[in-house]
Amino acid sequence: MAEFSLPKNSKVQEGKDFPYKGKSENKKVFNIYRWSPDDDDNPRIDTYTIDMDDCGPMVLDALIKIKDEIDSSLTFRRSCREGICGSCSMNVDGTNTLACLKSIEDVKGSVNIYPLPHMPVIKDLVPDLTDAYKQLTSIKPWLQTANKPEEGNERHQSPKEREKLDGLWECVLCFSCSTSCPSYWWNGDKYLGPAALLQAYRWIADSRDEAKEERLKDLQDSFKLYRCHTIMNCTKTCPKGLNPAKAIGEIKKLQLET
Amino acid sequence: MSLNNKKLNRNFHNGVPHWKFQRISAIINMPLIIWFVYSIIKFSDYSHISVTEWVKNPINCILISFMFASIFYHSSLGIQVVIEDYISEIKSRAFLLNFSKIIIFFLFIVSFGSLVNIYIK
Repeated sequence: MAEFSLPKNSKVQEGKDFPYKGKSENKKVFNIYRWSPDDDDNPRIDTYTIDMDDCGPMVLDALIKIKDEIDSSLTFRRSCREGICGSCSMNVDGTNTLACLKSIEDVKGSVNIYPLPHMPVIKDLVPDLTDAYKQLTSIKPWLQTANKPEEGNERHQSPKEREKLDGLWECVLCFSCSTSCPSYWWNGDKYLGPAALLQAYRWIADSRDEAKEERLKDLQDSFKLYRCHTIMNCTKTCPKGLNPAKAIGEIKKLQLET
Repeated sequence: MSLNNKKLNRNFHNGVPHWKFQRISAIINMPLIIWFVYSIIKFSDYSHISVTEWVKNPINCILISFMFASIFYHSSLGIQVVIEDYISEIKSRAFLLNFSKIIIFFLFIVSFGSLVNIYIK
């Protein structure tokens, strides 16, 4: 059965409070999910109040400030700081997004930060994405061809054919979409999820790829693709403004034609 | 969950026909249900005699039969999705899928039987 309530050891408790002791009036409260595998404690919400006059504008800036100046044990992934690497995906203010692209100003009141939903947590805001990467690998996200281009030539693609990849290639694999999808929550071991399916369509739509039929056949299964019930959370949450639900719809349409 | 290659490559039934027929039955349901509701609203008299007279009209009777078939078929497909979504244990899932199909078939037979009963009386 699908699990509708949290197991006892997952129930989130009240954590430590780190009040601001300076004189600034421009303050913001951050409630952050904390859990460590090093002890048997339940997850908790720690509260940090920081001076916004001395902090960058994005949620990631605040997290870095907290880690640097208040609590060095706070753990999160980050790298590029500009929405390209997809590392800092987390749930901010109830929506999955990239912390580096989410402006603190856009959040009214205190900022609630959790790891991506329904994924095993490694520590604090770091989810275990091992299975999500395995699912991505299963759709073979690389160019498959039986023929080699003539020596010295590239594989040609017209501007129109290239246009079909717009809205697909920009995905940074942050998995905000997959982890916002209730179908992925219930059947994450069988349903591939919007992120992997968007990538699947990225290769199906590529005029240079010669494994289109095989790719479509691999996705005919009732769980890998057809657990998508067009809930559209994926499209709503994508921090890059992409539309995984449309890509999934396109795969379904192509499967009807074959 | 921890996926291995065996789990990743397992195949359940082909989802294409289910998805296709769910949409086809939904499209068929729409005009039939609109026609049925419109016809009921238009009744000037809701007495048993006048309603059974309306049902006895061969065209109405045939359209209602189609509507029953389409609605129950569409329901069966929809309930299958719900069970597959929420019941992951394979034996329980198989039992509930068969059980729901039997119940829906039974309901269709009762509905269709009632219609025939009205028609021949």
